[in-house]
Amino acid sequence: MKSMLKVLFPLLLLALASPALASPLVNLNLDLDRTVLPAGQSEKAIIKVLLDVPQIADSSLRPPVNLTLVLDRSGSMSGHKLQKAKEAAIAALHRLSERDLFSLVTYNHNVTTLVPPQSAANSEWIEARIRSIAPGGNTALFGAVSQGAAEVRKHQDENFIQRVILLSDGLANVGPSSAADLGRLGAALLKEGISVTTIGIGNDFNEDLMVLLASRSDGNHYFVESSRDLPRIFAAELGDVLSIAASKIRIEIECLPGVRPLRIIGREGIIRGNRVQLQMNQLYGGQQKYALIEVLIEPGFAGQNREIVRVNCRYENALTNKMERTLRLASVSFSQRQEEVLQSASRPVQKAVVENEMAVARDRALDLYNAGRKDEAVQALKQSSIKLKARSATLEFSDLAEEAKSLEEDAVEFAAPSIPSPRKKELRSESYKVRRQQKN
Amino acid sequence: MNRPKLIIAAWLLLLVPTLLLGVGAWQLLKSESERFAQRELQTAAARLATVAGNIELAVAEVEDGLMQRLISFEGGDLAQLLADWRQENPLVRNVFIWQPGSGLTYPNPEMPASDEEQIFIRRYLPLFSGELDWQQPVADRMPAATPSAANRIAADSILSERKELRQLASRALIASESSAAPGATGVMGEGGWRSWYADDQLHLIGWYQPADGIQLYGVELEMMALLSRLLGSLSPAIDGNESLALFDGSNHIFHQSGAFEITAQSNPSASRSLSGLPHWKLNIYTGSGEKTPESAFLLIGSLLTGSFVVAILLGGSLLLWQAVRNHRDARQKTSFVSNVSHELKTPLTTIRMYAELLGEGKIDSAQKQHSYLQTIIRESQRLTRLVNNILDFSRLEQGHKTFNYSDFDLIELLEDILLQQSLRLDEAGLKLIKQLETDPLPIHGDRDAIEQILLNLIDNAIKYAAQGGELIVDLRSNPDKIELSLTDRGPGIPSSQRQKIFDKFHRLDSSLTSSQPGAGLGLSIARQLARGMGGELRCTARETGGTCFCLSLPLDKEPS
Repeated sequence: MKSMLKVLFPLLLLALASPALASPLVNLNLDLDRTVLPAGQSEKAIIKVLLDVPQIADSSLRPPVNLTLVLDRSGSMSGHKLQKAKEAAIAALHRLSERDLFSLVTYNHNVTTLVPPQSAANSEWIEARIRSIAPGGNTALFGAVSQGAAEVRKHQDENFIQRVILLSDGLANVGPSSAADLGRLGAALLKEGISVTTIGIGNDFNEDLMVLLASRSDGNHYFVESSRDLPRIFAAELGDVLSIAASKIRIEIECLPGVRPLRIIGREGIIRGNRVQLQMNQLYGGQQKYALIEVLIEPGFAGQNREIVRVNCRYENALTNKMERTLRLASVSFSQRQEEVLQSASRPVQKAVVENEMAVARDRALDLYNAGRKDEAVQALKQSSIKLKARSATLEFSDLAEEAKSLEEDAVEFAAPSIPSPRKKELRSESYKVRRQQKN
Repeated sequence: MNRPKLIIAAWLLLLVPTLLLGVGAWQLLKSESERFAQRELQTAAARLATVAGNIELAVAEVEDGLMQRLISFEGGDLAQLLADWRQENPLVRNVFIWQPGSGLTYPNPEMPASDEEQIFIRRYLPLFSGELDWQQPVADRMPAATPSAANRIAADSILSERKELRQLASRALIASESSAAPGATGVMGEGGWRSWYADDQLHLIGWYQPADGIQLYGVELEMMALLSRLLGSLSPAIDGNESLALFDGSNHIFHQSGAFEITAQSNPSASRSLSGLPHWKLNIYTGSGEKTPESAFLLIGSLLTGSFVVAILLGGSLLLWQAVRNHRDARQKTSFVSNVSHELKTPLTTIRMYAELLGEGKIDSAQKQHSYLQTIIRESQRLTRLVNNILDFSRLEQGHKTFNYSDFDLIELLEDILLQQSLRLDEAGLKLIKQLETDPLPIHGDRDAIEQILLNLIDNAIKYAAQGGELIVDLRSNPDKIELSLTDRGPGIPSSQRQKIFDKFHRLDSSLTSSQPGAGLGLSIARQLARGMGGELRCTARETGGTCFCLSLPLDKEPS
């Protein structure tokens, strides 16, 4: 009996672990900026948690999409903008298949569901409805997103990929209008698995609000300066939405004894005790997403090899609608020799760190600038530049140090009497793309 | 004498009831339309109450649901349960564990896990530091500034009824109560919801303290998620002309929906505060002014009533006027008959008298006989003229008058007529002054009609202007028309009467006319004849006193 148990126990363990073993859809990889650390002192390390999803080979296997388009039809949209938006919406509609659901909410001060959720195969009728949109009125952005989410929610139980695409060119002037409020709405929607992609057209929208709404709900954000680019942006967004392979991704990074989490670079997450929690709503096939976590590692002795973190990633496979889970461990070794340490430096990780740090620095500078603290913004940019240059230099990546210098150019720009509105929007959206690894 | 009074009385009899009817109908319409408006207002208020009730119920349900969940956590690994809950539930913004005396234990105030937690801790510092009691102050639970306390009480009773029902439904069997969850066996703890205004925004925080009293834990509601869900219940009536608006605590529009746009200045038809969301309110707005169906109803109704009143008054007045005219015509005809009889009788009497005298043969003197015969001839001529006039009149009245056009010399005709009448004019003491051209003036016209006109005019001059002593006959000709005027030095005609003298049966009301016999036909016939030939007869005043009758005739050589 006992010997029987001895045989069964490992088998049981294997069976329990089998979902992780049977080649998971999402590849979880852990990289470190240096895999060898100097011995005998506390060291900071940056862990790159990389999620890699292969391209879905057969597009007929892709999960059906429940897409709601929330279209601004306020007075400022009149003319070319609305015309192009309609065309882009129709083009987007034609890319959906009959399994997908499409709905359309238009808004000014009033919010109307112009097309209730229905199969995208009914395209003739939907097209006629889209063409009938006429501009005029104010901008009730909060109500519009709420209604868009309500339309998506009608089919929440049916395993659709849920997505709201918000298109606006103006300031929200009816209802909640602060970036924080819309961000909170976005965070609540993320918990329901609804992502909001925000598309800002022209130079009058509130980029902070649009970015925060997208960020908190894990959607994409696009800044479209000219309405001519709308069809391209819609195509890119649809490309993302139609290639979603995994959803409800929860990453938990557990720091093993002797390691303390310091911060998350670029993304937002929760650091509680020795655990770091990150959340993403959807992963697109053929794309990589990563998170950068800085940890403090207690001193080790030369030659020691230590496990530092255990990363647990749970997600729902969108093709099978089953929960999957992968587990990875990261370890470092310690050495007395400086060359060994330098040799172990990972260029891709440092590149990601520099890019993200720069994006974070720009965002922060913009926040300061918008709060009227211009000098502090300039100062912050300069400091970040110096820090990044120094860090890249010690790791002997001179080209990355060069790249970090561009922050100084930004500092000059921030020191100028005023930054043009389109430039601010561009900075915000570029930062966002870097921090979220948004492809387009 | 009584007649005008009678007419006025009849007209008043028509006018007063009609006006009364109109005013009454209008009043009725107005009150009906007001009733409509009132009813619409009531409907709006009822709808508002329903929507507000829905929102209040939804808030209460959410609060109850979250509280139930909080209670169910009792005894478990609170920090983990709450953290998982926060991660999964969109309505949960933050969670916390608090210990009386030592303050917040989760999240760690020294090391908040995110910016959000840091702000959360700062936001409720007065609560977490123990400065404020967890129980909502009574004053805040029932804000004094409620516009409709009755509504609120009604809503509260609905809420509590719902709550009772739910509790009833979830109640376990009494017998098996001991085997239920550990929370159910023990004494229930204490819990509640608290509204909290910070950063100009409303927050709701729920807390629960198990009966042991060691820990207190709770949840902060994600208002944005809750409100986002509530907006769906704000949809207006599909065909209604109304709008709904939800106002937040700082009196800004949070959301609006409906037929028209609302601004902060718009005037609501009804307003209601929401018990679940303190200081928030819900307003309903109904259609603005003239576009409402009630006012259209009033407008059309008023127009109809107005046209009825006008139609009745017009019709009645027309009938009255017709009656008055018929009456006048009848009187004129009577006087005409008596006048004509008198007119006819006078020459007949004269003719008969002289004829009898001659017939008796007692008159020997040849001169006398001649004179008598002359008188008979003259009187019979007068009779002929009179009868001609009457015949012409009746023909003109019936529209049967035909003109016999011929070409003749007007001068010659005038000379003839004046020669025939010279004796009468002499007898009347009128000196005839002729201002005629000597050249013949050929015209195309009705010789008899022109003669008739002239005779009538001369008759009038003899009758009324004899004391003036002269009659000027003046003829002027243009290439296209001739103007013949007869001017006397009589007493003249007042300007107000100058048109009326051409009316049939009309005679000037003066001592002069009363002493002369007449039917009031001469001038009327003369003008109608002149117009019948395409000309005109006018009466003007002579500057030096007297009257001038001017006859103008077209001078076309070709027969028309």
